[in-house]
Amino acid sequence: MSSKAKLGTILGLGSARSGTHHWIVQRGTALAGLPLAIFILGLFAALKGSSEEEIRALIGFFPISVGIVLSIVVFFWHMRLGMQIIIEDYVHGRFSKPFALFFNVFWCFFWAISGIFAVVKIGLGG
Amino acid sequence: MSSQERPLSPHLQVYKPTLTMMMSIAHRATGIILYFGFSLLVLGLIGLAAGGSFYGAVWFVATSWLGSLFLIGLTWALFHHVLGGIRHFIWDMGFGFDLVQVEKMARYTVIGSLGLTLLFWGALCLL
Repeated sequence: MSSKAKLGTILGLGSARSGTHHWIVQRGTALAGLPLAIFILGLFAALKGSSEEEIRALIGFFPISVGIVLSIVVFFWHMRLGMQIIIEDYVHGRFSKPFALFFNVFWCFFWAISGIFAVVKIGLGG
Repeated sequence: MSSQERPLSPHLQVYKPTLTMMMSIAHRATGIILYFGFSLLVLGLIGLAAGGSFYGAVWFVATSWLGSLFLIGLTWALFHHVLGGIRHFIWDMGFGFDLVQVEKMARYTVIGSLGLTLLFWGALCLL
């Protein structure tokens, strides 16, 4: 029998008792993102000043495509978790908080999925 | 989740801005900049995939004054956030909590991010 006051349980008081996974994945995506960020910077340097055909050829090149997709997945995962913390810190409205948290997920998935499809389309020559 | 207005003790109004405090704010601010900036980059990628006039618009914006400024600012934000992230990693592993070390790492982060940005864009424009 928990010694926690029943009213406290109902109101959701006390520690959330979760969040370690979030912390670990945040560091994990950051670690994975480090070489990917270098890759993206290098890709940008290679693409600067290129024609549309050259850009399409480089982005469509299979290893580069995979690198871009990996970067999109890792970066947007890291962004989603980071923005979640910011929203939890500053948004406290009864409806604005869950809405903001949901919108963050929607935003990150929208761009990530669209970006991956864009890379695949370029790679297939479309 | 009470929506009642409760009194808050003054914080930003009275706290003296320290280096570590500003570094923490900068780490979060660069994170927010990257959140929206990277999404904009993906929009450009979508424009490339769409081709035609969409790509033309992307190219026009990317090579414009504003576009170049945006990209330079974004790379600075990236360098600052990454170096700050490495600072956090060092703390997570349990090192560097001494105040002298903390201030040193903060300086390295600021100087490093500015230096790397200059290096990167200098190399891009000259090579």
